[in-house]
Amino acid sequence: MATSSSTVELTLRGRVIAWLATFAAGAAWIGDDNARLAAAMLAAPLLVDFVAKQRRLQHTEIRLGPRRTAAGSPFSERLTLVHRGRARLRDCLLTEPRTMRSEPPVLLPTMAPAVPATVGFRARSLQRCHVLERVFVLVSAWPLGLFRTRAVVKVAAELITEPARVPLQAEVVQGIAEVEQAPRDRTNLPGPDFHSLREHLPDEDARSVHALRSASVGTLVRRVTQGRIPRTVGIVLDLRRPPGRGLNQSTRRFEWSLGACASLVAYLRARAAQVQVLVLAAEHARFHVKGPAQETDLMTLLAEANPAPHRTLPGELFDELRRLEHCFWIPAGSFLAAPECAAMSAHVTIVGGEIE
Amino acid sequence: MKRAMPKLARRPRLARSPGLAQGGLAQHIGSLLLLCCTTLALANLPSSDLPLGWLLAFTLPGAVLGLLRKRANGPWDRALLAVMLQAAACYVALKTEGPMTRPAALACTILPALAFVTLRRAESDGALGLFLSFCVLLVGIILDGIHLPLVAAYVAAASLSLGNAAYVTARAVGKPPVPAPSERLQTGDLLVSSGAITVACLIAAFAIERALSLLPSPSGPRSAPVVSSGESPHASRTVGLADSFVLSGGQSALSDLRGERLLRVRAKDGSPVPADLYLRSGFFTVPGLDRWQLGSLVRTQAPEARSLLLRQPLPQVPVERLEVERFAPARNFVFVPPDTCEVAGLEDLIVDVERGWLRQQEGARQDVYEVSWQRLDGLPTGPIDAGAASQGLSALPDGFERKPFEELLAAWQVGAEPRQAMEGIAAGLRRHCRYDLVKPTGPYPTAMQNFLFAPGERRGYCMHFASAAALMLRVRGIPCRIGVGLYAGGVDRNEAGARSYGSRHAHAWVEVPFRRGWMVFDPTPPAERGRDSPAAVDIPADSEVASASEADEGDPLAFVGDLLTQPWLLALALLVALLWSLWPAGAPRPDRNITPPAARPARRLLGRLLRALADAGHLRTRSQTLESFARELRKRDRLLPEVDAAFSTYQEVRFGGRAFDAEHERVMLQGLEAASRLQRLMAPAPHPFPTAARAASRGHDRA
Repeated sequence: MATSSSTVELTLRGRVIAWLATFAAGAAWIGDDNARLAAAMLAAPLLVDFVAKQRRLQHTEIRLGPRRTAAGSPFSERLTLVHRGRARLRDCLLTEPRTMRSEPPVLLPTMAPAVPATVGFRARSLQRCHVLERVFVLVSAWPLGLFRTRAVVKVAAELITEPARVPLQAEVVQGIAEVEQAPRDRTNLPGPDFHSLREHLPDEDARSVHALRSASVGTLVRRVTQGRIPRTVGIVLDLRRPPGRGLNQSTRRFEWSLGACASLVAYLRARAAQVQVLVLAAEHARFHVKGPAQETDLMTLLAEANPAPHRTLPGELFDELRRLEHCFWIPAGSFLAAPECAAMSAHVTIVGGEIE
Repeated sequence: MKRAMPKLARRPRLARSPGLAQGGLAQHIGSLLLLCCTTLALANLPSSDLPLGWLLAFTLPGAVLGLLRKRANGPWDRALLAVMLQAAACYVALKTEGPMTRPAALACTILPALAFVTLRRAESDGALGLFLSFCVLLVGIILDGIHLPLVAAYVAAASLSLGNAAYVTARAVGKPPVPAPSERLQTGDLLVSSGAITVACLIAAFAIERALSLLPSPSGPRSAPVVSSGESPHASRTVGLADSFVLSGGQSALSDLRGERLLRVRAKDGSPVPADLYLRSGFFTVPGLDRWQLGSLVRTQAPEARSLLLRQPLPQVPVERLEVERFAPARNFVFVPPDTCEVAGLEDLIVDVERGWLRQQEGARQDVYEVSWQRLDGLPTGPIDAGAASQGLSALPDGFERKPFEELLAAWQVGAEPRQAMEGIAAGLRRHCRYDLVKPTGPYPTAMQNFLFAPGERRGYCMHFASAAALMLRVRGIPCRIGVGLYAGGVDRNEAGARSYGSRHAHAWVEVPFRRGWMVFDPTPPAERGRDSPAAVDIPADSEVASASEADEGDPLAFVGDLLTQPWLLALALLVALLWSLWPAGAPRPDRNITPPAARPARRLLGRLLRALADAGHLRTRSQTLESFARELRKRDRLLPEVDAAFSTYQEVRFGGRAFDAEHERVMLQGLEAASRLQRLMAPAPHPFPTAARAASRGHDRA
């Protein structure tokens, strides 16, 4: 863990008083007794504030557990602080710049030395990240507000901020669903899922009419079913940049694409599908997401993903995906004309191709 | 049904904490403290220069505007209202109180703004109000000197105000945590810490003020700090040349005169006491270039009657009667105008009627006495009193060099006629020297020589002016003496027409004996009369006078107090405090694993058990936990069930939070007994260093 640090700085009020005290001291030095009294009255609170300033803030022990969140999503954090100073810690503000940019700092209660105190606060990590060390800033202007002590405390705690979930177009998801077929028995059999009810139109298949609801409503009402998602769906997350493009361009598409991948995986998992994810980066990675653990691993990788330079890939890398019924291709790196995508089977849906 | 697309959350604006609502009480306290600071600053203004009418004229309009700020429509409307209110108030004050002095008028320019921000209570008004009140306080100090209780109260209120502002700001910026802390605990802690900080500010202000007096000034030797009250009586306070002037006779005229209020004088007929009244408490007749002395006296005990006639009143000159009320520091001193005819109301007086010297014996109780006097200023002086020479009023110091004084007098065209000589000397001194609260410096060995003959700027205060004038008059053959006492005073705030005198009004002048009576000749420039007098100058403890003889004969508390207020000691204390705060804070010590009190009996039994096992050859090393030790014993086939149970019981009590009750104690005692049996039955395992083994075992017990 990197070392923490602490500084003492003058506040605006302290600066004004310090200048006035300096001028008064100068006048007192020249020989005016009244100026001496003025200098003393101005310098006294500065001196008392400086001497009484709470130091050792950088030694404050902060304990908190690992945190996993999504970018932009608020969460409640609880941490335990142990003050290591000699005297009580008063009027101390705690903030974590990474997660509390849009939240006010937390005013800690008065803390006695070596007595743990637990505080909770709302936070929101706005940027996707995976960090092993969280940085907290403690600021205190006690007692007189003329000096301010600022301490940076680094804590070894993991923070994983997954990509923000993005709304996916309905066509993207429904495109892989089976075409609506004849209604089946409502058991755990494979087949289309019930989705909703709507008015029956004269030319439609009457076998989908919902008898009981029609009787109660007084007009013919039919079921709308939604096709089941295939058992295993493939996703290719291409982090490569097109040839000749820098790594730092088009971050908007990159972030959106990561969010789309996360949203897509969550959507598919919610419908009991297994997802085979192939991540094309500097080194490719495969995930067969069958359960929460693999999903967590994938999200962790998405949290720390970065654009990769362009490289060509062997065709056999995609053999397993070609065997699947459907595959999503997410050009996160803006490499829209990937030849590997074109070489895939016809059942490929490109996600985010319209975003520039 | 079309599913609604979730929208990405927009980045929220920076939320303002609700802490401000919780700090409502603190804000009210802040307003109250600001009002307190303002009131103290206004109270410090001299009522003689700034009568109540003018004070109200400059504060009420601003206060009204501050209270009505929400009702006024726009800035121009408010400005118009302000101008109208202020003009009306000034007009009324001018009609009722009359014009002000120029310094007071200049000082009043910030009063409207101060009143406005004090009562407006906008967010930034705390800091602005504090600054303006500080400026007003300084103005009051410049005009009227330092009133220590007011200044100390202001420092206390201002430090509380600063602390309150920091408290409110922290709660405005920060959000309380979840769960919110107990309010009662925080309030108690807040009160204690605020009080401690306030006291620290007061002490620091005093220490810094004294420490700054050590700074060598480029303008010459620094005068000692001037305060109006509250000093220790240990360091003798005298009036004199340089900084040492002992009034002989063992009873120093002004050595004990220390206090913001020494006298209150009122006229018996209710008329205002004149502002240029001299009240003499003593005089010096034996001249010196560095010190004057009282001279010989013919002391007599005043008769038992409570009225003492000093001289017959002159016919056709009105006799004025004054009532003089003395306060604690001035007891036993008798202050009378130079032309006093009669003193009444005092017993146990010691007097020299011919010279006009009066004292009251210690222990006398009367606080109030009456004085009858005649103002002889406008009358013809007449001839010099022939008996003056017999009193030594024409003597010059031993070894006195007349020539430089003669040259100076010739340059000033000073003749031998008394009135012309006095006027010439006064005018010459005003041109030749400058009034300043410093002792004269220069290449000459004596203060008077430096005051009159040093090259460059010649500076001194009333005593030097008086001494120089007296010497010059005597050079011209005009007898005179130096009178010391109080002059001018200030309008008494509690009683119309009365005047109050404090040690800051101490003054020195020259008295010339005419047949009709003593004539006061004050050579101090008129503008400087009535300023904080060097009679209130403190003498450093190492001065040649203040001293050992006079000072404190065996009062250790006063000695300690004096020592603690030494500038060098305070400067050193400030430096130490700064260094201590700047010292880099080391890493905190790791927490020691201290056995809680409830588990200590169990710990003691465990210690005995481990010692018994060590004696049986089974030593637990420092790095072994009880579990690993038990495993090792089990491997050696030496782990008795009772010992194992004792270990488990100890773990439950120490770490499991169980109470060490009789059952647990019984189990541990059984384990101890089993270990002792093990020791008796088994041969002890050979240990190369048995003594070290026992010592290590004791060390483990302590862990």
